Parts: sequence; structure tokens; C-alpha cells
Amino acid sequence: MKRTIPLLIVMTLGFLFVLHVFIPSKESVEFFDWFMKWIKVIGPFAIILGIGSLLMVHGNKIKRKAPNWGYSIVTIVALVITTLTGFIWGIQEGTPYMWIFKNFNVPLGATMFSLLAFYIASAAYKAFRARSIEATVLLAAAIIVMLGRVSIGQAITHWIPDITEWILNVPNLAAKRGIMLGVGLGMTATSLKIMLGIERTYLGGGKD
Amino acid sequence: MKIYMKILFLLTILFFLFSGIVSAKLLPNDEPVTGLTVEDLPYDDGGGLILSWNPLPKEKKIIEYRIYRGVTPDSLFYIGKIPVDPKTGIIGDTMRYVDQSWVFFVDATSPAKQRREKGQRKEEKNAQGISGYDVLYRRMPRDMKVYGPILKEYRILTVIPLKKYVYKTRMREFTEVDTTEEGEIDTTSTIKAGLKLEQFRYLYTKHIVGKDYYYAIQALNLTRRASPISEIVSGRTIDNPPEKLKEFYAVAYTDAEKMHFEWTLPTFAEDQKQFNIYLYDENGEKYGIFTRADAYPYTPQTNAIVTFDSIAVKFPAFNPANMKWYKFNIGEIDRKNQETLAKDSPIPAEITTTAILPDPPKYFTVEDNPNDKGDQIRIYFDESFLGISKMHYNDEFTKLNVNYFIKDNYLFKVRKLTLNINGNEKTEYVLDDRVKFKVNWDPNKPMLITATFKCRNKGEKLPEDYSISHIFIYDKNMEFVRVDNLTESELNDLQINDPEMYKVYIKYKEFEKYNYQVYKINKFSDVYRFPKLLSYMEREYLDRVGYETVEFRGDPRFQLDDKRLYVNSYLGIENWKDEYPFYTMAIYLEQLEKNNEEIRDEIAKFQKEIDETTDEEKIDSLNTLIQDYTDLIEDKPPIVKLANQQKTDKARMKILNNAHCTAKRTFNYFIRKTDGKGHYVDTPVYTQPDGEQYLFPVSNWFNNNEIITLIAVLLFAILVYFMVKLAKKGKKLYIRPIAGIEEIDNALGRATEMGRPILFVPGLSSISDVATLAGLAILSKVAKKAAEYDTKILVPIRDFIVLPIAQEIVKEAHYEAGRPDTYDKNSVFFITTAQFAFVSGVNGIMIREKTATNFYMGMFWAESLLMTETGSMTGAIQIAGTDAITQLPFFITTCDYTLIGEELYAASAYLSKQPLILGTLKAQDYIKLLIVISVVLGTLVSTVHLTFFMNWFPAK
Repeated sequence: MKRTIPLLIVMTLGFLFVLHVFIPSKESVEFFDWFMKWIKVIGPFAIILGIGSLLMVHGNKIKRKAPNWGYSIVTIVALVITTLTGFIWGIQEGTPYMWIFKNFNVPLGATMFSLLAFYIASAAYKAFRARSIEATVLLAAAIIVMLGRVSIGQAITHWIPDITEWILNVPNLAAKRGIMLGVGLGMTATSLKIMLGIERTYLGGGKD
Repeated sequence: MKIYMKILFLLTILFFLFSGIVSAKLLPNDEPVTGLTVEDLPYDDGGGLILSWNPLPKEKKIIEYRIYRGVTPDSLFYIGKIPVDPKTGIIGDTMRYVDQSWVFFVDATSPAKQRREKGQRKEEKNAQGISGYDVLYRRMPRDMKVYGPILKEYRILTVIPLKKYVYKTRMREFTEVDTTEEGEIDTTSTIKAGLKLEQFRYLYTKHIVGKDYYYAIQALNLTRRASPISEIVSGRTIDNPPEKLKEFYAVAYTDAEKMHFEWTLPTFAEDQKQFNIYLYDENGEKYGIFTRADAYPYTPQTNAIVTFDSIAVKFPAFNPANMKWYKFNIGEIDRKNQETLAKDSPIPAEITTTAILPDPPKYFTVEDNPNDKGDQIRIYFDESFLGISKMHYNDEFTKLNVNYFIKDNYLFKVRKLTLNINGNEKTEYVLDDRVKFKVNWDPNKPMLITATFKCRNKGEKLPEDYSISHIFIYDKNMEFVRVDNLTESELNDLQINDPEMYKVYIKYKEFEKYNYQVYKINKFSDVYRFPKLLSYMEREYLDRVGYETVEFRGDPRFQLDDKRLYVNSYLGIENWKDEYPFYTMAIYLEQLEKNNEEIRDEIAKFQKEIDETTDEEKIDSLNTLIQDYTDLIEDKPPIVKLANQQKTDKARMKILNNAHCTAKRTFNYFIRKTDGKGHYVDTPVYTQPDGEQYLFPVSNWFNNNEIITLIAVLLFAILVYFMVKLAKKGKKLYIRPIAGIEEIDNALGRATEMGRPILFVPGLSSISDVATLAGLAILSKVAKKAAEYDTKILVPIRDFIVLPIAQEIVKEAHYEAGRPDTYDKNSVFFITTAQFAFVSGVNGIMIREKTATNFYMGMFWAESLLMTETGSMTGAIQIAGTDAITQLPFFITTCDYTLIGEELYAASAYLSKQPLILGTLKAQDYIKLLIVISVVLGTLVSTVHLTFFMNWFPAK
């Protein structure tokens, strides 16, 4: 029962949603909208699970004095302070919650994001090492595309921007579309497997 | 000790952060807003007031000005705010807030109780000696004891969900006892429909004309500290006469014996009720020759046709031969019957004939829009149009690139386009909005580009000689190509050098002058409304006819005993005969019976009077009254008669509500082609082939645009079925080896040998993403193997809903492997929903736990490289799989193995080797083969200009 009922729900709703694509009627649209509202309602309840997990993992670390348990204190203190400020003063502009968000969350997030520039340079170095014919072709294409995207490329010769456009619009787009076709089919196949009950891993454990 | 050092380090950073903020300059918010004035809004219906005040200095870092309103100065409720950027402050020395139109008052989400505003200071009093603490309240509460008595201080508009109004109201009879001037006691009883506040969608307010309203302002600074309350200022609304019309044109068409009037509306047109057109004779005497109501509340009118005959009725001395002596003016009248004339002095009419008018739109058709939920009507007319959006030459003037756009309609859907410049012809089989010409002409001379079309045949055939031409010239000064925009001197040269091209240009400019106005009327109204103005280029319009979901009722009456608001209990049904243009019906059977009873009493009273009198004239008038009153009971639309035969209110209202919605959503249409200056022609009202003019949009049960998709899905399902069957029978299905998947065992073995944990990130997306589901399916297999090898697996999660599912999967994997004892619930854990915070968490785990193998399976965004590069630095074996095309290059570069796109979805099948799952994989391959064949075939036939195959497939 623990698996059969969820499976039945998934199969029934899966087929109803497939039908929704082909049936534009008012009833079909209303059903879809009604269901979307339910998803919004269910979502917030899962937050409790997330916070529970976070507290349990870090609580255990502190309790056991696991390596680096100090970070767990910081995590829990940050969670409690942020939650309390939100509940007490609200989350509008000018509240302590917004201050924490702007002065901790945003700059720390931006710091992580800015690291990406260095990582891209490092990844590019790895990718462009001309160790084989394929890597050499990749290197040449990359140089042309990079030059074609800046004004110096146009200054050297107008062919560079033209070739850049061609590389992006023909071989690159063809490969992208090929992958996208496969992805589309893969998604459809996975959805079908789930709807038909062939793929059941998402149901987790428990006996039928 | 080490950990204490780390905490100390973090605290130091925090200290610097705080000290930076604290040291920032912030002037105390201890001064009230000054200069508050409240003035009447001009030209409106007496519903608007403008508040002005002086903003506080920028240094005070104000983030919002909050506005409070009340009907007495001792209790003001929050009605809105103006947010301000504290960095820039307010530029200028005055701030304004317009309290106009319908303003939100109260609904079910309002606060339960009346609460004083936060941050008020008891000790500070304003100029009138009132402290903010005494008077400012938060939003109007939903407590009827508070808002009920205030209702009468405003005009109230209630918005009620239609179904609630029709089926869920409670009937209540109100009896008013009044004493007449003669001293008699007059009792009036009214039945109303009651609803609780939560049954209403909203209640809106508007000011009552001539009443005083009180306002105050408070400013909040960056720390949300409120300034002292401003001075409390009152304002009184005035119902002003309408604003003058901007333009007014009168045109007399002598051959058709009619006049066209056209005008443009002022800024505030909501209050306009009707317009009057006046004729002034040669002596300046004024005659009203035409009057018509606006289609309130939809659109005020902007034009009128008046025949000479109808003018003669209002002005008997009218003589068309004297038209040049007559002058005209128009008066707009508001709901208070105040009139404003458009012109200070009347204007003469342009005297002409209908020969100057363009042809009306051809092929005008109105039909239900297919493949929708029944909320759109399709209107189309005229032949296809081609416009030029951009043209440019290369530096050597040897190439000309033309960017074009097509405006077509259902009747003439363009399939092929031929463009001709100076005999140089290009045919577009694929309409990609651009075409390149090799040129051999002088770019400084005007050139003609002509388009001819080949259209899909849907009953009508495009005339053979139909074409659209544009004239273009290279502008040396501006260095761009001008299209259909010649200067005076260029035009003069053209007239001399190429009269034919000149004619084409003049004809196009004339064509460009006329736009289309779509008019419609439903079965509930007696005036056409004007829903859409289409430019001269448009050829099709989808008119949205939304479903009826709400009813509007004014001025509710509150009852504290049952906590309900009572509104009018009549529902509009349809436009029934001329004498009942808005036929309404009581919503309760009991109410209907009571109304009928009262009418019968009146009839009996009249009958008694007839019996008692001998005056023939009085008898005649009483008989007419009896007939009118009898009609009120008996002369009803058939649908109402049917409804009234029902035994229950619910059954009756079901019929009446259907009739109400149908009448409101059934329209007829016509199109007016106009230059906005009184020169216009109309199509006749569209009549369908069955002779009916009104059209009701139909809800469709199948979307024909999705036929190809349906065929593909069915084909795929059939293939899956057969492949699964084959696999079950034991046929060996060959599956291409995927290196990344085959390496999973080795990667796990490595982690086991090294005694380090495995990291598995199932993407950052939610459970509704198929890539996440595919990632979880792989997690199931990896976790099982990890359990078998007794290797620790760490699964950080970003989505709350994914967390319990992943926990269950890992737990089940341990059970399946026969190692339930090794399952640790905390090995699958939530980190955060913030993208980069999640990355730093995962990176920290990689470094601290020294994971030997990292899996990234699912949907990833910009964080992918941050994680994999860190993993690469720690020396872990990394296997990634994603369908995010933009992230694939990063994974390929930094990971040892990458599952590209569909391989991610195939991985679980590959790992499980179950026939059912392998069957779907094989079917997927066959469908891919079919797609490849279609692509190749499509390319081949399109190359030889056969576009039918390409057009079978929907554009998206």
C-alpha cells in the first residue's frame, strides 16, 4: 500500500497532465491551475524537513565535538538569528533581516560567484592544451570566437566576426540541437517510465 | 584551540562589518514631514484628491513615505506608501500622491483587529497637539465593528466571486419606516443578498463628493524609525466638469447626405456619460443635433455619424446647401450632467464627398478562435502586408540587406514571398525575415521594393495583381536607408523624374494614414464599445473574451448581528427588447414571488380605480399602467420563464447564471477604418453564414496544433511497449557502452580502497525537474554499491522536497544491499537553498572530508565549475551528468567522465539492466533515428523549395 497508492496517484495525475497538453478546454485549464496552487501549498511544509535535517546534522557535530564543529555553531546561530529577525521585525526594506541579507548573504554569494572567473581561466587552460587534433581544433575555434567577440577581431579582418558567427550558428548550434533532441527524448522516456510505474526509485523504500 | 581561533577570526570579520555600518552617517529621523496640502483633482468625478508635501533631506535616509487617511482627524488608517531609494533621496522639492479612483479598503487578508501603527512616539506632538500615537492605525481591520460604520463615509465598490454571489448568499429583508410630508407612515421593504467579508474578493473605496477627508504622512528611515506625524490636513473633493477634448473634426459628405464627427479623448475620460453635438446656424443659434451615451464602463465614444435627415428633425431650417455657413461643436457630459464644450468657438465642417474615403476592409470575418479554452474570438480582414523594418548597404554599396516583417491572417497565410528591386528578384521559401540583394543601382536615388505573395488557400484567393510596395533611399548624412520617408525636395525630384514611382509613394502614404478600430457589442448592452485600435499594418486580432468570474455591487449595508454585508440581489440576464435594455432578475424565488405580489397588488389597485371612475381618459391611462405592470410579470425572456419554473433557488440560479454569462460573452463586431479626422468607413456588422450576427466563443476539447506531438507521443509509447515486450521475451538488446557509467564501479572501488567517502550531488533543481529524477535514480544504484562496499556516501541537498526522497532512496539502497546497519540518516542532508552558499558548503565538504569520488548528476547552473574545479584540486575522481547544455563544457573540462544530455537519463537503465528499463532506452534510440530521418528529409525537400513537410511541424 505504501508504494501502490503513491504510484497510482503519479500514474493518474501524470496521464491527466499529458492530456492537459492536448485539451485546451476551460475545465482542463482550471484543473491545471487548481493543481498548481496545491503544489505551492505543499512546498512550504517541506521547509520543516530541511531545517530539521540541518539542525540534526550540525547538532550532532556539536554534540560529538566532530572536527570543525565550530562552523556548525556559526550555522545554527546564523539560522536562529536570521529567523528571529524575520519574525520579529518583518522582512521589508530597512529591517534587521534585510540588513543581514544585504550585508552577509549578498556579498558572500558574490564572493563565491566571482571565483568563477578564475576557475573559468583554469578550466580553459586545461581544455585548450593542444595535445591532440581534437584539442587543437577546439583551441583554434576558441581563439577565433574570442577574437570575433571583441573589436580587435574586426580590426584584424572582417572575416573573423563572420567566421565566429558561422561557428556559433552552424557547428555549435547543430551540436547543441543534437544534445537537446536527446535530452527531450530522455525526458519523455523518463516521464513515461515514471507514469507507467517502470521507474520507481523516486518512491524510496517501503514494502508494497 | 584551533577551533577557537577560527571562531575568533569570524567574529573579527563580523566586527568590521558592523563597525562599517554603525559608523555610516544617519541623521536622526526626528522631524515631521512639512508642507502637506490636500487639493481636489481637476476634471475628475469628485473621487480624487492630490496630496503634496516637502520631502525630508536625503541625509535622513528615508526609505518610504507612508500615507494615512481617515474621515475624522482622530483616526487615520494606512492606505499606501511611496518607496524611496535612500541613496538618491527625492530629486525635487515636492512629493505627490494621488488618492484617486477605487482604492483598496478591506478584505479577508486585512488585520483582524484595529492596531495602532508601530514606531509612533507618545511624547512627540504635532502642531495641533496630537501625537502620532493617538491617531495612526495600520490597514483597515476586517473587524466589522470598525469598518462597518465607515462604509457610509465612502462610495464603496464590492467585488464578489460570481459563484459565491449566485449560490452562496443569504437573503434578508430590510424594512425602512419613513414619515412622508403628509405625515403618513411609509414602509418600504427591500430584499438584499448577504455575504461574509471572506466571501468578497475586495472592497474598494472612492471619496464622496463634497466630503472632508483627513490625511497625514509619516516617513520611515533606513532603520525603520518613523518620523513624527505630519500636520493632519483635510481636503474636500469636487465633481468638476469634464476636461476639454483635445481635437474635434466635422466632415460633411454631401453625396451620402451625412456628417462624420470625430474627436480625441481627454486624459480623464472615466466620468464621461454622454456627448452632445451642436450645430450653430448662420446667426449663431445653437441646436443639439445628436446625442449618445458612452459605452460605460468600457470606452467613451470617439466618433459619430449623423445623417442630414436626422439633423433636419432637430433643426428644421437645415439646408445642406448652406453647410459652409454652419459651425459645429461637441459637448462632453459627465455623470453629474456637467458639460464642457470641446472648442471655445465652433468649427466649420469640411465639405466633401465619399469619393475621398478609402475602401472598407475586405474579407472581414469574425469566428471562434480554434484550439483555445473558449476565451478568444478571431477577427481578420484585408490581404497580407509586408513591412520593412531595416535596410542597410555594405560600405561598397554592392550588397543590400533587407529585414522585413509580414502581417497576415488566417485567410491569407503567406507561404512564399517574392521581393523585387529594379528587376532583381528574390523568392523567399522560408520566411526568415531577411533577404540579401546584390545591387547594381545608385543608392542615392529612390528605389522601389515590391512584394508579391503566395498564400495558403483557405476559401478566398489572393488577387493575382496584389502587391505591396515601399520606396527607400540612402540618407548620406545619417548613413542609413530611409524607407517610405522622402524629404520634400526628394519628393519633388521624384515627381519630375519618375511619375509612376511618385504615384506609388503617394498611394502608400494615403494607405498609411488609416488605422482600424474594432467595435463590439454584447447582448447586455446597447452601445458599441471600442476594444482595440489596430495600426494600418495589422490584419488579424484575437479579441479576448474572458470568462465571467466576478460581480460588482455598490454600497453594501452591514449587519453586526450576523456579520454580513448586504448588497443588491438582482442579476443581469440579457438585453430583452427595447423597453428592458438591461433585463435583471431577482436572485431568490421568494424575492421574485414577493415582487410579483406587490405588482399584483398595484394592478388590483388600478382595477379598483377603473371600477370607481367614469373618466375615459383616466381609464385609458390606468389600462396602460395595468398592461405595463402585467408585462413586468409575464413578458420575460424564455430562459427566465424556464428558470422561474424551477423549484429550488439553486436550480433556478444555475439557469439564470448561464444566461447571464452567455449574454455577457456573446458579441457582434464591425470595423471602422479611420484617419482620426472624420474620414472613416465601416464594414457592415459581421454576419455568419447561418445569418446570426452574435458569436459566442467555444471551449475546445482538442488542440489541433498538437497533432504532430500526439502522433510522436503515441508512436513512442507503442515502440516502448514492443521493445519492453521483446526484452521480456529475453531478446538481447544492444546498448552502446557509456564510459562514464562503466567507470562508476572503479570509482567506488577507489573510494573503498582509500577509505574515504563518496560525494553525490543530485543537482540543484527541484523534484519537478526530470533531470533531478534521473539523478536520484542513479543515486539509488550508487548508494547500493557503496553500501555493498561499506563506503560512506554523502548527499548534500539544496531542495527541501528532494531531501526526504533522497533519504528514502539511500536507506532503501542500504536495505537492498543487506546493510541496514550502515545507513546513516545524516549522510543525506540539507545545506541551503541559496545557490552559492550551497556551493561553499559542498566545497567545504570536499576539502574537509577529502572525498575520493564525486558524482554530480542532475541539473546545474553557474555553480557547476566552482564545485568540479574544487573536486579536481582535491584529487577526487569526478563523474558528472547533466542536461544543462551551458554547463556541459565545464563538466567535460574538469571531470574525468561526463554523461552528456540523454546519457544522464540512460544511466539508470544501463546500471539496472532490467528488461523493462532497457526497452524504453531502445525505443528512445529508434525514435531518435526517426527524428534524424525527418531532419534529413526536411532538409532535402526544403532545399528544392518544397516547404510542405517543414510546415507540418509546429514552430515550437
